[in-house]
Amino acid sequence: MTTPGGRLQHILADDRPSYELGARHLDSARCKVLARQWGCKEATKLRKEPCIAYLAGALKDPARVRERWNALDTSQRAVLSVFKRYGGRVSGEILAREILSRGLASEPKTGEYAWKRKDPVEELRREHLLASLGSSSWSHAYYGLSYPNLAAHPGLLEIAEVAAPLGWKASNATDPPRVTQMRYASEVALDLARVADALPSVEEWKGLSGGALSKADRARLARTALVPKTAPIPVPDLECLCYEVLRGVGAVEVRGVMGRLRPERVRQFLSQPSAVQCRAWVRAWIEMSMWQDGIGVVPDRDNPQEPVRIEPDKLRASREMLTWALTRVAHGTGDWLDMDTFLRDLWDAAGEHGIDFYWGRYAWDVDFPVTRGRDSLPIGKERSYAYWVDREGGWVANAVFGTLYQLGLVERGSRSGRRPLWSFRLSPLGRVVLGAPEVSDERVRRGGKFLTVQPNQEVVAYLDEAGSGEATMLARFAEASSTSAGVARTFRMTRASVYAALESGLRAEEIVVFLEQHSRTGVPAEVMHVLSDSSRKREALVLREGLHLVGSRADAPPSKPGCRRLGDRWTLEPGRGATGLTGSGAACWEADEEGRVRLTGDADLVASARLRRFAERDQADWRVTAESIATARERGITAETIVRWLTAHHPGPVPPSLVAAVHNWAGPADGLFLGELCVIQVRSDRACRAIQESLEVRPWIISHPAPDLFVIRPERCAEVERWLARRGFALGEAYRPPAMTEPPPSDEPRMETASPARGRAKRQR
Amino acid sequence: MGARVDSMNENRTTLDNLLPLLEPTSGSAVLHVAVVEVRDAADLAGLASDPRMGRFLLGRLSDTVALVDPGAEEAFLVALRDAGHTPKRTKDVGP
Repeated sequence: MTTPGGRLQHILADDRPSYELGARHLDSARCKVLARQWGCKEATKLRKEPCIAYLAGALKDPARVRERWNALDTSQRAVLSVFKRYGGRVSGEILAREILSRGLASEPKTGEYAWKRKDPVEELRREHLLASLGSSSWSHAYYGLSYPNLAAHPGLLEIAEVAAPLGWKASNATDPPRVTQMRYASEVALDLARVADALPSVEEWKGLSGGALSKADRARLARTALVPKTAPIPVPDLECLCYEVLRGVGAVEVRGVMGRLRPERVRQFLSQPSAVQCRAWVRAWIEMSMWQDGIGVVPDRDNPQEPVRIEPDKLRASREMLTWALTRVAHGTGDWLDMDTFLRDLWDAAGEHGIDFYWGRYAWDVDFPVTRGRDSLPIGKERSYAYWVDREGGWVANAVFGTLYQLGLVERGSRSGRRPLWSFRLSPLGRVVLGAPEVSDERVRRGGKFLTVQPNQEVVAYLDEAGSGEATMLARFAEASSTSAGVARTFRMTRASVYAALESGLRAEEIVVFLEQHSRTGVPAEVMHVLSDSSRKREALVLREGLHLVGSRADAPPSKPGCRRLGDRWTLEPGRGATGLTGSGAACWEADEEGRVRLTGDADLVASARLRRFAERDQADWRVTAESIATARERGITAETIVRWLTAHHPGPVPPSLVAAVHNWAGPADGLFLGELCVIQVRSDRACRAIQESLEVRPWIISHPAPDLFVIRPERCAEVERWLARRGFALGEAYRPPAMTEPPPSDEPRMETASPARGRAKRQR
Repeated sequence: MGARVDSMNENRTTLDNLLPLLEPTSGSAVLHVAVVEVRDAADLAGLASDPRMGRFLLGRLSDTVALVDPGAEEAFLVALRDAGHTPKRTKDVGP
């Protein structure tokens, strides 16, 4: 990320190892030629393997490398200087633009043979001083000068000078805008911190394919993170842009569809200097595929018939190309660039296919004059340009004036007219990040006195004076009182916010030092008091976790180093690698329906202690009673907790009647009916219909629970009996009980089936 | 001095009722447990007598240290915070 001199690397520089000769993939004759070029005089007499062995040594030999360097011409050395500028590897598209812009080669003419043209890149490739990356070993000239992604020999790069930066000159000068907007790095960092705070800090979350947040999580994030919206140019799914940046910098880890926040990485990243952070934001933006400029969150899969996103590889290449153009702007005059002129200059610099994809619907729909009447233009450059502006130009506008403004790289402004005239220039931070390594970050180093601390624990922060690390440090121990955009933000140190900061690993002394260092007005005594009070209160109640608890005799020797004696019975030891709990899941209780609980021989401390909290002694055993459960309830122990403990320590299923009793004793008790009922049981459908459809009997029926059963009001029993006798029914048959049904499998017993049914059935006589 | 000793004895009696002292069984060792530690016995009695927090305590290991129900550490922490406490969370055994 930074050069050995402490400066930022070029924004498109890549640290990944790159150059590989790949001699094993060459044929024997080519190996011999290469070995000879690298100084092996007997190469023609050698077989392939000895040639490869020789090359392996020669490529690392400084003397041989120097010889090769001396043999190169000026333009070839200039190409290597370009590679050095980019850290050793350059994408084919960027390389082609660099070569053309520096005049090291020209666009191939129609019908011109590639081998006849003077092209130092191709010459270096033929000598294997530039190696193709990955599988992209070919290039084609259909779209003009074109190369695969290439890496240069590292030994030659050490000798080469870094190529000078390319500048940028607008083809049309523009007046400064009347209204301007700019975001500071501290504002962006606070947005990222807000989104990180709104994500679950402990548990994982399930996202979508590709690692994007689910729709529900996005909505929740938008509600809780409250990232200030940027009017008047909309940036869709702004919170998700922050999320993808966090993902790109490694603060969010995604495996498959599961996401996880890495709080330590968040803190470590957000404490870095503004320029270092901003460089990582841009790198993350170039790489992100699930959020697209002017579109927002996009799905992982596309529909070729009806695309829903820009093709990710093309978007990545386009972002790289736009970044390349902006690196040139960073070395320009620093004047304002109006949007129309910039698009024209970008098209000229990047070529017709430098930024090339198929998409035309953006959140910020810009009305470009050049696109009006494009269909009537004759086929040629102007018509192509008009179509390009309509599609890719819209994306550039959304990326520059939306995304890059949001990330603090661009200052934007407008002049009112019939159509607002938008223009931009790089912010000081943008010039540093995009102008690296030549532009020093001294211009954006912040962190002076940017705070005013009030006695009522309010802190006013002037974000234009704050570095992003300082702003996020403040947000760790003080809550933002307002989410409005602006450089003066009010924070408030509350007991909860200070406590959260202390729990995250910050010490009270560090907060005091920070406030003293950055406050313009000192730190009021009231604030110091709140800090020391919060720290003292926190120390007064400590939850120690993951420890081993060992019973010890009173006469045991003093505890070992690192261990701690608690009274004369227990020793606390630091938790070591072992996992799993001993004592929280042992099946060592035997309980019966009457609530008697017997401890078996292997009962341990946790099982015994739990039992003691809700049962009472009954000679050698324990007993769960209404009184013991009432005592447990007074202690706050719920029936659910007791049943959970019973289930954990009971070898088999806990008797349902005991579970029901625990719930009933803990209250409220399950209600049930126990009493006398008058029941008619019939044998035939005829009898059933007679009773069911009788206008006289029907009002006396309470319910009809089964096809052959009628429950009658007890006080009407005699009248029903007379009614049945008058109609000749043979009363006096025995009651035929239906088959018992099994209760559904559940931890909770059903009282209706478990309780003894003592209702007296009125038999038919 | 005498009043202080009386107060300590009173606290201990209260504690014995609320949160009995846990006795080690032979060779008893429990792995990966959480304990809560307060400044004095009165604070522990205060915790144990409050059903919101007391429900998560199984017994006391000393006059200022109590064993937390395994598996209920997070819920205990939430209960403490909801009750206005600001507990320090650590993996140290303490002084």
